[in-house]
Amino acid sequence: MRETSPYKPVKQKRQALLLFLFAFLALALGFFGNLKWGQAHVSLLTLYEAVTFQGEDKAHLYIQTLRLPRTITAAIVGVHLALAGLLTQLATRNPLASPHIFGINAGASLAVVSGLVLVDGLSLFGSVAFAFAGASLGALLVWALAGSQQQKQYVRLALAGIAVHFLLSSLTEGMIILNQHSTDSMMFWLVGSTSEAAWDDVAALLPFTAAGLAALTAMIPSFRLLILDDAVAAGLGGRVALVRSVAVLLVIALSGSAVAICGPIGFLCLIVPHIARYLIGEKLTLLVPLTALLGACLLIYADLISKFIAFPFESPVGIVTAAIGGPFFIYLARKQRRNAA
Amino acid sequence: MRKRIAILLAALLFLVLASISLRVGAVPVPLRELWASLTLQDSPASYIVLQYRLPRVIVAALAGFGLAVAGVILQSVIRNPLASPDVIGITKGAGFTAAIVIFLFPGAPSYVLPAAAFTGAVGALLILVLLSRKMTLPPSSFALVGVAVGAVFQAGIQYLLVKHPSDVNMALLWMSGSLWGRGWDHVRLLLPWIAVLLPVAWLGYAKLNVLQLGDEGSAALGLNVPKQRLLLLLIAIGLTGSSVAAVGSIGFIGLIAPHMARLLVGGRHQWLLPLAALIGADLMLIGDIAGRVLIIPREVPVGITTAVIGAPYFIYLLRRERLKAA
Amino acid sequence: MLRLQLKKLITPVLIGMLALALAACGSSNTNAPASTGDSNSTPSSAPFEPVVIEHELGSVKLDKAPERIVVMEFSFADALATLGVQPVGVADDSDPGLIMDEVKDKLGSYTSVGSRYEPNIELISSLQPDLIIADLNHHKNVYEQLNGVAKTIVLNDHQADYNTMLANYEVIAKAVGKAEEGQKRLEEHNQIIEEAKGKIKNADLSILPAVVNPKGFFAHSDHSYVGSFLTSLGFNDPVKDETPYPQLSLEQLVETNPQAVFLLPTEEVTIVNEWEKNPLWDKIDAVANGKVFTVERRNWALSRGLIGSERIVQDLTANLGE
Repeated sequence: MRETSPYKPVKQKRQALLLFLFAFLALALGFFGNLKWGQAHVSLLTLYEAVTFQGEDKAHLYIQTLRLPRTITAAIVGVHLALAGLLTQLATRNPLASPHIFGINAGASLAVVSGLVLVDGLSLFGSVAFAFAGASLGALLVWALAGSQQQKQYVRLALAGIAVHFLLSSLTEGMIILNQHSTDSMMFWLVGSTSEAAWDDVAALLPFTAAGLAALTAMIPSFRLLILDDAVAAGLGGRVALVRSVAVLLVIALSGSAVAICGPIGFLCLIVPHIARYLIGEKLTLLVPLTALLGACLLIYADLISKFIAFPFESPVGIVTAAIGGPFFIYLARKQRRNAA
Repeated sequence: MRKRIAILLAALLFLVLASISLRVGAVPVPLRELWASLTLQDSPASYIVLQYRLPRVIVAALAGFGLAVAGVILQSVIRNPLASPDVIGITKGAGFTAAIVIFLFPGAPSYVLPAAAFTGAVGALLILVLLSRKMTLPPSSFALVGVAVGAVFQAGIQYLLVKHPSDVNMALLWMSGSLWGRGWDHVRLLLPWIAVLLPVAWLGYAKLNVLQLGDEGSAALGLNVPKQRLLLLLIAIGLTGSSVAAVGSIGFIGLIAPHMARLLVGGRHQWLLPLAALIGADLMLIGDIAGRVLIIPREVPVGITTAVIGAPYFIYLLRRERLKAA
Repeated sequence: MLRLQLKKLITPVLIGMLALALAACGSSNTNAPASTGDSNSTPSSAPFEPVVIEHELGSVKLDKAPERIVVMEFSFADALATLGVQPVGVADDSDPGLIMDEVKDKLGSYTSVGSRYEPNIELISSLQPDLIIADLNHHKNVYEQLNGVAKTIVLNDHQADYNTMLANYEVIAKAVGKAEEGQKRLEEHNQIIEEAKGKIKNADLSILPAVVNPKGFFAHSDHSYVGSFLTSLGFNDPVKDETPYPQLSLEQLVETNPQAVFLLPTEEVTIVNEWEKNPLWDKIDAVANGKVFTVERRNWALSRGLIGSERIVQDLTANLGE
């Protein structure tokens, strides 16, 4: 079934090693940049003192209580979203698939906004629960539509997803319009933002990260089934369906938790798997960690950029990822003609 | 025969809905008063009927025609049943320019907003055409490029929304699509476009029928595919742009009305176009009536009610498509 | 097969229409507004001289004192309340709780004409008003329609600062034939403000008013109504930004370091509940000095009139004066 992959074959071992090294370096640099630059000036010395937990000045606290958890959250959410994107693309065998395009984000947004309207003083836990309910709803909708995947349906499915996305967002807009006094502030969150992330949020995310990564690692051999030929896969019918459902559950866990904390950050989940595949090829044992790493990298840099778009005021990071991801999506769409007409 | 009946029924439904729409609302108008006002006799309801509800009904109908027909054209040009002005990013382009006016030029006179929206719709199409290698891209890629362009516009809209929290509601109302306060001015704005483009679109039904067959088939029948596609797109954009300028970026009408029509009369455009137009208008009126009576004295914007009405049907439709594919 | 699908299609449509019809009938029975002819406003003492009112979108000639007035913003309602005029209709977002109590008491019973963004024009016309006071930003697109209902004055309220509000107040007073009362009330207002200024110590404090909700902290800079009012009292605006309602992060708030903070919460639980747990919160001067106060948003940020401003002053003297 698969046409010759547009991506390069697996590289030499040493090249792969270099790639990972480079990605790590970039991540570290991004981490440093996010801690160093923000609304308030922080000197290098203060930064060093802060991360070694000496000093109780304002500047130290900025780093310890705001920038550090925020950066860690951005990295984790980046990992979640990138892996969720990769899994979606594997499970649907659709290069255009992503939680964002498939209405999962929009479902979670709708649920959280509804929660805010219906429940007074919604707690962090409450909004996580609502986000999960919504994400599952969106995923359910899409998978109900995605059932049997054939090559030709790439585009149809992507368009269906976008239409579901629009539908859910217009319902969200309706909620906001009709409850303006409690919800007009939701806009910032609705675009996706890490700016309010605190240690609580890191703590809320980590279990999902740990469980998700563990499950993912354990399942890598099985996920290979998802990139098999139709003919071969057909012989293993039941297995494939099972693996696919596990992948879907993982997608919901990863993207649902990310959306609950940071709002629906778009496009990251679409583009990172493509970049990773372009760099390292299809071999899952390499592709999965690189995707995770690049996801963290991209979101951290996007977060850094978002601080400076309207300095000193914050802008939601979702705008940055959309600005990067939109053109990339256009590139993908234009390339699409080789694969499916 | 069945096709005629379908069109007749849709037209009948339209008349019924139009009269309901004139009758109900925050201030119910008894039938006698309604008749008196419509026949220009003196009546206490004259203002509400003639100056408020009648132009609103007409704008709703015209926009419904425009969006639905644009949807039909896009779906056959792109050869994808899920294409619509909404999905391929044209209404987002209009939304973006409208948001610029609402947020950055709040003092602009009231005619600027529709003009900006129309420009935005045309601009979005222009970008699309540029990115699609002068329309030689296969239709499915074209649709995806549209989705992506729409997403970039959406990011711009969101940035403006976030930076101007106090005007969020005004912008959202416009963007979800609202018929509130649409008067004879808007009828004058919209009528020429629809009156000209609707017949033009209908006269193009033969081309639309052919284009549906696919590029090779169309070319074999002597059609200059990229050129025809561009021409038809221009018609669609004229319809969408003017409708959106008048009522805001209402989604779903352009997606759902063509589907309902196709289900009833099949894919031949000489039947499909008029029926879709009527269904589009019917949907707009149902949405508007619901929006005006649900939470009196407030209104639910018509874009929201049409989405709520359209959602279940849309999901059913996708399920059905899937079953067919399996 | 096709038949079956058609049926599936038709049932929801029918159900929808039935629901609509029911809703329509229900509403026609209950919601007829009480447009009994009793005049709500007290006739002005002096005989009314015809006046020409200049407003944002033109001018309007009023031959007699308007008696049935519809206002489409909270500040206009505030203005009418000070003049002892009772409007027949108010756009209150269908929530009378958004109007501050003192104003509400003076307004008496009125008909809600719905959202301030999209007031119900049918309902307005059924109230048979003889004057409509509308906002430039929200209602300029329906000016013609409103004019068809009644003479309409369009004022810039949405973007108004304190001085614009005072100018608008004089226009409103003149339009309802109470220019003199208006002047008198303005003098009274100025006196209240002056007295308050005397009571407030350290009037050069930097004060930050902010609307807080579950997801954000929105400062009101001196380009907003509340901010401009505080500046006119002599306080400093710690934000100094051209946008009226910049959203601040905790880091920015600490850097801004206001000496007093007035929180205008929209809900019970807001982002401040989170921030209070952070040791940085205590580094803000306002927090360290115990000068963080919670006041009512409808009084500060929604009413935007003389009564609202006097209430702000009252809150200020109660909390900062000694």
